[in-house]
Amino acid sequence: MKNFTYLILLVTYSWASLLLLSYLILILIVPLPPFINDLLGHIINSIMKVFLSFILFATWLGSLIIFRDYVAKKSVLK
Amino acid sequence: MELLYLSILLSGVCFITTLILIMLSIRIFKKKNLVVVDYHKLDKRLVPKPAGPAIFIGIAFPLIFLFFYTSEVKYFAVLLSVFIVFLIGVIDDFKILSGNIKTGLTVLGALPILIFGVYEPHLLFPILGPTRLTIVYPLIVLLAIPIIVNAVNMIDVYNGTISGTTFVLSFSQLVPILLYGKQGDIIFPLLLMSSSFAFYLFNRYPSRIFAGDSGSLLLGSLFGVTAIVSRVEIPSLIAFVPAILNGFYILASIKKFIEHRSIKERPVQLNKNGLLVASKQKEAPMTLARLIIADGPMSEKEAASKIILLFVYSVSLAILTSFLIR
Repeated sequence: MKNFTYLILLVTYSWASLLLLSYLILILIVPLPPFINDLLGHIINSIMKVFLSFILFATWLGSLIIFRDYVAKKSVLK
Repeated sequence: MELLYLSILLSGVCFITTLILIMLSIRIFKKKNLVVVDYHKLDKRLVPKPAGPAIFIGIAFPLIFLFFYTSEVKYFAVLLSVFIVFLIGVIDDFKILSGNIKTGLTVLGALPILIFGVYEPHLLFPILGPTRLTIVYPLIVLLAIPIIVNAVNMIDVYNGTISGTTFVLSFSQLVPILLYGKQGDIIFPLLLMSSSFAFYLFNRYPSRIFAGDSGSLLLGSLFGVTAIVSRVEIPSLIAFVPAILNGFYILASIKKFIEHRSIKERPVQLNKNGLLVASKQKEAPMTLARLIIADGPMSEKEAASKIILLFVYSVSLAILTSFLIR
Protein backbone atom coordinates (compact mmCIF):
# COMPACT_ATOMS: atom_id res chain seq x y z
CA MET A 1 0.00 0.00 0.00
CA LYS A 2 1.27 3.50 -0.83
CA ASN A 3 2.25 5.79 2.03
CA PHE A 4 -0.23 8.40 0.88
CA THR A 5 -3.07 5.87 1.35
CA TYR A 6 -1.80 5.26 4.90
CA LEU A 7 -1.86 9.01 5.51
CA ILE A 8 -5.47 9.22 4.28
CA LEU A 9 -6.29 6.38 6.70
CA LEU A 10 -4.42 8.21 9.46
CA VAL A 11 -6.45 11.39 8.88
CA THR A 12 -9.69 9.34 8.87
CA TYR A 13 -8.65 7.61 12.09
CA SER A 14 -7.75 10.95 13.70
CA TRP A 15 -11.13 12.42 12.70
CA ALA A 16 -13.19 9.51 14.05
CA SER A 17 -11.14 9.03 17.21
CA LEU A 18 -11.04 12.76 17.98
CA LEU A 19 -14.83 12.95 17.85
CA LEU A 20 -15.10 9.79 19.95
CA LEU A 21 -12.63 11.19 22.47
CA SER A 22 -14.63 14.42 22.74
CA TYR A 23 -17.86 12.48 23.28
CA LEU A 24 -16.23 10.30 25.93
CA ILE A 25 -15.06 13.38 27.81
CA LEU A 26 -18.33 15.30 27.44
CA ILE A 27 -20.74 12.42 28.09
CA LEU A 28 -18.83 10.28 30.60
CA ILE A 29 -16.31 12.47 32.42
CA VAL A 30 -17.79 16.00 32.59
CA PRO A 31 -21.11 14.98 34.27
CA LEU A 32 -19.36 12.81 36.94
CA PRO A 33 -20.84 13.84 40.33
CA PRO A 34 -18.56 14.49 43.35
CA PHE A 35 -18.31 11.63 45.85
CA ILE A 36 -18.74 14.00 48.80
CA ASN A 37 -20.92 17.10 48.42
CA ASP A 38 -18.63 19.65 50.10
CA LEU A 39 -15.92 22.05 48.86
CA LEU A 40 -13.13 19.46 49.14
CA GLY A 41 -15.28 16.92 47.30
CA HIS A 42 -15.87 19.37 44.46
CA ILE A 43 -12.15 20.20 44.23
CA ILE A 44 -11.18 16.50 44.16
CA ASN A 45 -13.91 15.91 41.57
CA SER A 46 -12.54 18.67 39.28
CA ILE A 47 -8.97 17.39 39.61
CA MET A 48 -10.14 13.85 38.84
CA LYS A 49 -12.02 15.03 35.73
CA VAL A 50 -8.95 16.87 34.43
CA PHE A 51 -6.78 13.83 35.20
CA LEU A 52 -9.13 11.38 33.45
CA SER A 53 -9.45 13.68 30.41
CA PHE A 54 -5.65 13.99 30.30
CA ILE A 55 -5.24 10.20 30.36
CA LEU A 56 -7.72 9.82 27.49
CA PHE A 57 -6.02 12.59 25.50
CA ALA A 58 -2.55 11.10 26.12
CA THR A 59 -3.84 7.69 25.01
CA TRP A 60 -5.13 9.29 21.80
CA LEU A 61 -1.77 10.97 21.16
CA GLY A 62 -0.03 7.67 21.87
CA SER A 63 -2.20 5.92 19.30
CA LEU A 64 -1.18 8.56 16.71
CA ILE A 65 2.49 7.85 17.42
CA ILE A 66 1.92 4.09 17.07
CA PHE A 67 0.18 4.67 13.72
CA ARG A 68 3.03 6.91 12.50
CA ASP A 69 5.72 4.45 13.60
CA TYR A 70 3.90 1.63 11.79
CA VAL A 71 3.80 3.66 8.56
CA ALA A 72 7.44 4.75 9.00
CA LYS A 73 8.68 1.18 9.58
CA LYS A 74 6.92 0.06 6.39
CA SER A 75 8.47 2.82 4.30
CA VAL A 76 10.99 5.43 5.48
CA LEU A 77 12.94 3.23 7.92
CA LYS A 78 12.70 -0.01 5.89
CA MET B 1 -28.04 39.95 2.62
CA GLU B 2 -26.41 43.39 2.23
CA LEU B 3 -23.49 42.30 4.42
CA LEU B 4 -23.02 39.14 2.34
CA TYR B 5 -22.61 41.11 -0.90
CA LEU B 6 -20.40 43.66 0.82
CA SER B 7 -18.18 40.84 2.16
CA ILE B 8 -17.84 39.31 -1.30
CA LEU B 9 -16.91 42.73 -2.70
CA LEU B 10 -14.38 43.33 0.08
CA SER B 11 -12.79 39.92 -0.44
CA GLY B 12 -12.36 40.89 -4.11
CA VAL B 13 -10.64 44.09 -2.97
CA CYS B 14 -8.44 41.99 -0.67
CA PHE B 15 -7.49 39.70 -3.58
CA ILE B 16 -6.51 42.59 -5.88
CA THR B 17 -4.67 44.51 -3.13
CA THR B 18 -2.70 41.43 -2.05
CA LEU B 19 -1.88 40.55 -5.66
CA ILE B 20 -0.55 44.05 -6.48
CA LEU B 21 1.36 44.35 -3.20
CA ILE B 22 3.00 40.94 -3.64
CA MET B 23 4.13 41.93 -7.16
CA LEU B 24 5.59 45.14 -5.70
CA SER B 25 7.16 43.23 -2.79
CA ILE B 26 8.96 40.87 -5.19
CA ARG B 27 10.51 43.84 -7.05
CA ILE B 28 11.46 45.75 -3.88
CA PHE B 29 12.84 42.72 -2.00
CA LYS B 30 14.99 41.74 -5.00
CA LYS B 31 16.43 45.27 -5.15
CA LYS B 32 17.01 45.39 -1.37
CA ASN B 33 18.47 41.87 -1.43
CA LEU B 34 15.83 40.55 0.96
CA VAL B 35 16.14 37.04 -0.46
CA VAL B 36 16.73 33.53 0.87
CA VAL B 37 18.00 30.31 -0.70
CA ASP B 38 15.41 27.82 -1.97
CA TYR B 39 17.04 24.65 -0.64
CA HIS B 40 14.80 22.30 -2.59
CA LYS B 41 16.26 23.41 -5.94
CA LEU B 42 19.52 22.18 -7.46
CA ASP B 43 20.53 25.70 -8.58
CA LYS B 44 19.94 27.03 -5.02
CA ARG B 45 18.13 30.06 -6.44
CA LEU B 46 17.35 33.11 -4.33
CA VAL B 47 13.71 33.84 -3.56
CA PRO B 48 12.35 37.12 -2.08
CA LYS B 49 10.76 36.99 1.38
CA PRO B 50 8.51 37.85 3.29
CA ALA B 51 5.08 38.13 1.68
CA GLY B 52 3.56 38.75 5.13
CA PRO B 53 3.30 42.58 4.93
CA ALA B 54 1.50 42.42 1.54
CA ILE B 55 -0.96 39.82 2.85
CA PHE B 56 -1.56 41.79 6.06
CA ILE B 57 -2.41 45.04 4.24
CA GLY B 58 -4.74 43.08 1.94
CA ILE B 59 -6.59 41.64 4.96
CA ALA B 60 -6.52 44.78 7.14
CA PHE B 61 -8.38 47.19 4.85
CA PRO B 62 -11.64 45.17 4.59
CA LEU B 63 -11.66 44.54 8.37
CA ILE B 64 -11.14 48.25 9.17
CA PHE B 65 -13.88 49.16 6.69
CA LEU B 66 -16.33 46.66 8.22
CA PHE B 67 -15.50 47.83 11.76
CA PHE B 68 -16.44 51.43 10.93
CA TYR B 69 -19.38 50.40 8.73
CA THR B 70 -21.05 48.05 11.27
CA SER B 71 -19.47 49.31 14.57
CA GLU B 72 -19.10 45.65 15.55
CA VAL B 73 -16.08 45.08 17.76
CA LYS B 74 -15.39 41.55 16.43
CA TYR B 75 -13.81 42.95 13.25
CA PHE B 76 -11.45 45.08 15.31
CA ALA B 77 -10.65 42.18 17.68
CA VAL B 78 -9.81 39.87 14.77
CA LEU B 79 -7.67 42.56 13.12
CA LEU B 80 -5.80 43.24 16.37
CA SER B 81 -5.24 39.54 16.97
CA VAL B 82 -3.89 39.02 13.45
CA PHE B 83 -1.77 42.18 13.75
CA ILE B 84 -0.10 41.04 17.00
CA VAL B 85 0.82 37.65 15.52
CA PHE B 86 1.93 39.33 12.28
CA LEU B 87 4.26 41.63 14.26
CA ILE B 88 5.82 38.62 16.00
CA GLY B 89 6.35 37.11 12.55
CA VAL B 90 7.98 40.30 11.23
CA ILE B 91 10.39 40.31 14.19
CA ASP B 92 11.18 36.65 13.49
CA ASP B 93 11.76 37.37 9.80
CA PHE B 94 14.47 39.90 10.55
CA LYS B 95 15.79 38.72 13.92
CA ILE B 96 15.37 34.98 14.35
CA LEU B 97 13.54 34.14 17.59
CA SER B 98 14.05 30.86 19.43
CA GLY B 99 11.27 28.27 19.13
CA ASN B 100 10.19 28.68 22.77
CA ILE B 101 10.05 32.49 22.63
CA LYS B 102 8.14 32.52 19.33
CA THR B 103 5.60 29.96 20.59
CA GLY B 104 5.23 31.84 23.88
CA LEU B 105 4.76 35.23 22.20
CA THR B 106 1.99 33.96 19.92
CA VAL B 107 -0.20 33.51 23.03
CA LEU B 108 -0.54 37.32 22.89
CA GLY B 109 -2.58 36.87 19.70
CA ALA B 110 -5.37 35.30 21.77
CA LEU B 111 -5.69 38.29 24.12
CA PRO B 112 -7.84 40.59 21.92
CA ILE B 113 -10.40 37.77 21.56
CA LEU B 114 -10.59 37.38 25.34
CA ILE B 115 -10.39 41.10 26.22
CA PHE B 116 -13.14 42.11 23.79
CA GLY B 117 -15.15 38.99 24.68
CA VAL B 118 -15.86 38.09 21.06
CA TYR B 119 -16.32 34.40 21.82
CA GLU B 120 -19.11 32.14 23.05
CA PRO B 121 -18.00 29.57 25.64
CA HIS B 122 -20.36 26.99 24.13
CA LEU B 123 -18.65 24.56 21.75
CA LEU B 124 -21.06 23.34 19.08
CA PHE B 125 -20.67 19.57 18.83
CA PRO B 126 -22.08 17.33 16.11
CA ILE B 127 -25.32 15.65 17.28
CA LEU B 128 -24.82 16.83 20.93
CA GLY B 129 -25.27 20.53 20.12
CA PRO B 130 -23.89 23.31 22.35
CA THR B 131 -21.85 22.41 25.43
CA ARG B 132 -21.20 24.77 28.36
CA LEU B 133 -17.47 25.40 28.93
CA THR B 134 -17.56 28.77 30.75
CA ILE B 135 -14.33 28.34 32.72
CA VAL B 136 -12.37 26.07 30.38
CA TYR B 137 -13.12 27.90 27.11
CA PRO B 138 -10.87 30.99 27.66
CA LEU B 139 -8.03 28.58 28.51
CA ILE B 140 -8.73 26.70 25.27
CA VAL B 141 -8.51 30.05 23.38
CA LEU B 142 -5.15 30.83 25.01
CA LEU B 143 -3.80 27.42 23.99
CA ALA B 144 -5.47 27.18 20.57
CA ILE B 145 -4.03 30.33 18.96
CA PRO B 146 -0.33 29.48 19.51
CA ILE B 147 -0.93 25.84 18.55
CA ILE B 148 -2.72 26.74 15.30
CA VAL B 149 -0.34 29.55 14.38
CA ASN B 150 2.78 27.42 14.90
CA ALA B 151 1.27 24.35 13.22
CA VAL B 152 0.53 26.45 10.10
CA ASN B 153 4.11 27.73 10.22
CA MET B 154 5.38 24.12 10.25
CA ILE B 155 3.37 23.32 7.08
CA ASP B 156 5.47 25.81 5.11
CA VAL B 157 7.83 23.13 3.78
CA TYR B 158 7.52 23.15 -0.01
CA ASN B 159 6.71 25.73 -2.66
CA GLY B 160 2.99 26.51 -2.46
CA THR B 161 2.10 24.36 0.56
CA ILE B 162 1.35 27.23 2.96
CA SER B 163 -0.77 29.23 0.50
CA GLY B 164 -2.43 26.12 -0.95
CA THR B 165 -3.37 24.65 2.42
CA THR B 166 -4.73 27.90 3.89
CA PHE B 167 -6.79 28.40 0.72
CA VAL B 168 -8.25 24.89 1.10
CA LEU B 169 -8.71 25.34 4.88
CA SER B 170 -10.84 28.44 4.33
CA PHE B 171 -13.60 26.21 2.86
CA SER B 172 -13.87 24.35 6.18
CA GLN B 173 -15.04 27.64 7.74
CA LEU B 174 -16.87 29.16 4.78
CA VAL B 175 -19.30 26.24 4.34
CA PRO B 176 -20.40 25.96 8.01
CA ILE B 177 -20.70 29.76 8.34
CA LEU B 178 -22.95 29.80 5.26
CA LEU B 179 -24.82 26.78 6.58
CA TYR B 180 -25.52 28.42 9.96
CA GLY B 181 -26.48 31.71 8.25
CA LYS B 182 -23.85 33.88 9.97
CA GLN B 183 -23.54 36.51 7.25
CA GLY B 184 -21.61 38.92 9.46
CA ASP B 185 -18.81 36.36 9.80
CA ILE B 186 -18.54 35.36 6.15
CA ILE B 187 -15.84 37.98 5.61
CA PHE B 188 -13.28 36.05 7.71
CA PRO B 189 -13.02 32.86 5.61
CA LEU B 190 -13.45 34.96 2.44
CA LEU B 191 -10.41 37.05 3.41
CA LEU B 192 -8.39 33.93 4.16
CA MET B 193 -9.48 32.47 0.83
CA SER B 194 -8.79 35.56 -1.33
CA SER B 195 -5.47 36.48 0.29
CA SER B 196 -4.25 32.87 0.20
CA PHE B 197 -5.22 32.53 -3.46
CA ALA B 198 -3.52 35.79 -4.45
CA PHE B 199 -0.43 34.61 -2.57
CA TYR B 200 -0.64 31.12 -4.07
CA LEU B 201 -0.28 32.55 -7.58
CA PHE B 202 3.27 33.65 -6.64
CA ASN B 203 4.08 31.04 -4.00
CA ARG B 204 3.23 27.91 -6.05
CA TYR B 205 6.00 25.88 -7.64
CA PRO B 206 8.43 27.42 -8.59
CA SER B 207 7.98 30.04 -5.86
CA ARG B 208 8.59 33.68 -6.73
CA ILE B 209 8.13 34.75 -3.09
CA PHE B 210 8.09 33.00 0.28
CA ALA B 211 5.63 33.71 3.10
CA GLY B 212 8.25 34.20 5.78
CA ASP B 213 7.17 33.82 9.39
CA SER B 214 5.11 37.01 9.14
CA GLY B 215 3.05 35.48 6.32
CA SER B 216 2.60 32.00 7.74
CA LEU B 217 1.86 33.18 11.28
CA LEU B 218 -0.71 35.74 10.16
CA LEU B 219 -2.54 33.26 7.89
CA GLY B 220 -2.58 30.79 10.79
CA SER B 221 -3.90 33.41 13.21
CA LEU B 222 -6.69 34.44 10.82
CA PHE B 223 -7.75 30.79 10.57
CA GLY B 224 -7.55 30.34 14.36
CA VAL B 225 -9.45 33.47 15.40
CA THR B 226 -12.14 32.81 12.76
CA ALA B 227 -12.73 29.37 14.27
CA ILE B 228 -13.33 30.97 17.68
CA VAL B 229 -15.19 34.17 16.74
CA SER B 230 -17.46 32.45 14.19
CA ARG B 231 -18.07 29.38 16.40
CA VAL B 232 -16.83 26.91 13.81
CA GLU B 233 -14.29 25.34 16.15
CA ILE B 234 -15.09 21.69 15.48
CA PRO B 235 -15.12 21.84 11.63
CA SER B 236 -11.91 23.92 11.77
CA LEU B 237 -10.28 21.42 14.14
CA ILE B 238 -11.12 18.49 11.86
CA ALA B 239 -9.90 20.28 8.74
CA PHE B 240 -6.72 21.12 10.63
CA VAL B 241 -5.92 17.47 11.53
CA PRO B 242 -3.02 17.05 9.01
CA ALA B 243 -1.34 20.18 10.41
CA ILE B 244 -1.86 18.96 13.99
CA LEU B 245 -0.37 15.58 13.05
CA ASN B 246 2.60 17.26 11.37
CA GLY B 247 3.27 19.57 14.34
CA PHE B 248 2.79 16.80 16.88
CA TYR B 249 5.10 14.42 15.01
CA ILE B 250 7.83 17.06 14.82
CA LEU B 251 7.45 17.76 18.56
CA ALA B 252 7.41 14.05 19.37
CA SER B 253 10.60 13.56 17.31
CA ILE B 254 12.55 16.57 18.63
CA LYS B 255 10.90 16.69 22.09
CA LYS B 256 11.07 20.49 22.34
CA PHE B 257 9.97 23.67 20.56
CA ILE B 258 12.74 24.45 18.12
CA GLU B 259 13.25 26.93 15.32
CA HIS B 260 13.08 24.92 12.06
CA ARG B 261 16.38 26.39 10.85
CA SER B 262 18.18 24.72 13.76
CA ILE B 263 17.03 21.16 13.01
CA LYS B 264 20.32 19.31 12.47
CA GLU B 265 19.13 16.25 10.55
CA ARG B 266 16.88 17.30 7.66
CA PRO B 267 13.83 15.03 7.17
CA VAL B 268 13.93 15.47 3.38
CA GLN B 269 16.94 15.70 1.08
CA LEU B 270 17.53 16.60 -2.53
CA ASN B 271 19.10 14.00 -4.83
CA LYS B 272 21.35 14.70 -7.81
CA ASN B 273 18.36 14.65 -10.18
CA GLY B 274 16.68 17.45 -8.26
CA LEU B 275 14.09 15.11 -6.74
CA LEU B 276 13.17 14.97 -3.06
CA VAL B 277 14.01 11.85 -1.07
CA ALA B 278 13.08 10.96 2.53
CA SER B 279 16.01 10.84 4.92
CA LYS B 280 16.91 7.34 6.15
CA GLN B 281 18.42 8.78 9.34
CA LYS B 282 16.59 7.75 12.52
CA GLU B 283 17.46 11.12 14.12
CA ALA B 284 15.66 13.14 11.44
CA PRO B 285 12.19 14.30 12.52
CA MET B 286 9.37 12.10 11.24
CA THR B 287 7.32 14.86 9.60
CA LEU B 288 4.31 14.64 7.32
CA ALA B 289 6.55 15.87 4.48
CA ARG B 290 8.96 12.99 5.08
CA LEU B 291 6.17 10.38 5.19
CA ILE B 292 4.74 11.69 1.93
CA ILE B 293 8.13 11.64 0.18
CA ALA B 294 8.66 8.04 1.37
CA ASP B 295 6.59 6.87 -1.61
CA GLY B 296 9.76 7.36 -3.63
CA PRO B 297 11.81 10.23 -5.00
CA MET B 298 9.40 12.86 -6.26
CA SER B 299 9.43 16.42 -7.50
CA GLU B 300 8.72 19.25 -5.10
CA LYS B 301 5.60 20.09 -7.11
CA GLU B 302 4.22 16.57 -6.65
CA ALA B 303 5.05 16.55 -2.92
CA ALA B 304 3.32 19.91 -2.41
CA SER B 305 0.24 18.69 -4.33
CA LYS B 306 0.03 15.60 -2.09
CA ILE B 307 0.12 17.73 1.08
CA ILE B 308 -2.62 20.00 -0.30
CA LEU B 309 -4.63 16.91 -1.34
CA LEU B 310 -4.43 15.59 2.23
CA PHE B 311 -5.96 18.89 3.39
CA VAL B 312 -8.67 18.66 0.71
CA TYR B 313 -9.61 15.31 2.26
CA SER B 314 -9.63 16.64 5.86
CA VAL B 315 -11.67 19.68 4.77
CA SER B 316 -14.21 17.29 3.17
CA LEU B 317 -14.49 15.48 6.52
CA ALA B 318 -14.90 18.86 8.25
CA ILE B 319 -17.71 19.89 5.90
CA LEU B 320 -19.39 16.50 6.42
CA THR B 321 -19.17 17.01 10.19
CA SER B 322 -20.54 20.55 9.98
CA PHE B 323 -23.79 19.13 8.52
CA LEU B 324 -24.22 17.16 11.77
CA ILE B 325 -24.00 20.32 13.89
CA ARG B 326 -27.25 22.09 14.64
